Amino acid sequence: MPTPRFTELSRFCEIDGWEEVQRGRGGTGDHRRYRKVLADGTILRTRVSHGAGEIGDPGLWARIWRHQLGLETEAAFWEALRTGRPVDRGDASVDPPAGPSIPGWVVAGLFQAGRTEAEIRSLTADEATELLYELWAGERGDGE
Amino acid sequence: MYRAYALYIKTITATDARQRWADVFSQAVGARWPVAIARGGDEHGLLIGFDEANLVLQPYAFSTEVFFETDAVSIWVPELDLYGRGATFEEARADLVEEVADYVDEFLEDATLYLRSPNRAAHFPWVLRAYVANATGELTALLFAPPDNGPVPVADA
Repeated sequence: MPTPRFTELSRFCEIDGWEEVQRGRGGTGDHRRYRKVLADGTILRTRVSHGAGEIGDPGLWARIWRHQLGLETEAAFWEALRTGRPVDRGDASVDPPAGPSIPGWVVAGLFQAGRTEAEIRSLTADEATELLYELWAGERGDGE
Repeated sequence: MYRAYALYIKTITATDARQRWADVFSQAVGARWPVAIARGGDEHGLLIGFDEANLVLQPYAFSTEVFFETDAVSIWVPELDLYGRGATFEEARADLVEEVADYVDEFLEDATLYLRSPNRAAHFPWVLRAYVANATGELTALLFAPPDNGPVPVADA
């Protein structure tokens, strides 16, 4: 399935009865924030970028529909858009999905070490971590 | 002065704390001796310094995940179920820091609701740690810090 556009995410929130949350520091910034409180006290929260872009990464989108929208399946999102009816939502606390991502501290460390985004993009998480270890070890002079 | 003061009082009243505020603050932050404060018999607080708060909160690390899309970068924070996004890693990181700061504000402004929520209450230690880091200008570093048992960055070696 494709990843949704932000306009579709916004429409989903309207269909599913989410409230827009105002920022404490005023203004909306680059995003609108939405919240929905379920009967058991579970608080769902997401945000929608202004503009017509889309959530491009399937791994990120999987985390958004599971953890932010509290859906059991991705299909429930598209079903709500198709029918215009709110979601019959189950337990939001599901296991986190596996996905191709790189730990943030590794990416930050590689940038700090002078690697380019294009280089980092081509690496797996293991390769990126291994490269960072090598760079740090080399700069410390380990093994010399 | 604050040491002698603390030796005799285990919990002080809010009124007393207000009247002796300089001593109370010096004891909690300067001498690193937490001060327990009570009001009306059923409201209790604990005043501690940022250093002690960070010590207590140290186990609550962040494990951000970076997703490189074709023409964008996204960063997910599983501990808080939040993400930042931008055309480059730098933009996504700045967006994430703003999003975390906004969430901390949102959580603490409505703490009674969030601390009762089955999927939000457990966020509290990370929210508090992010709050302290944001107040000291260290939120970005905190969100992208290596794990405690991981390698040591060159600058810190």
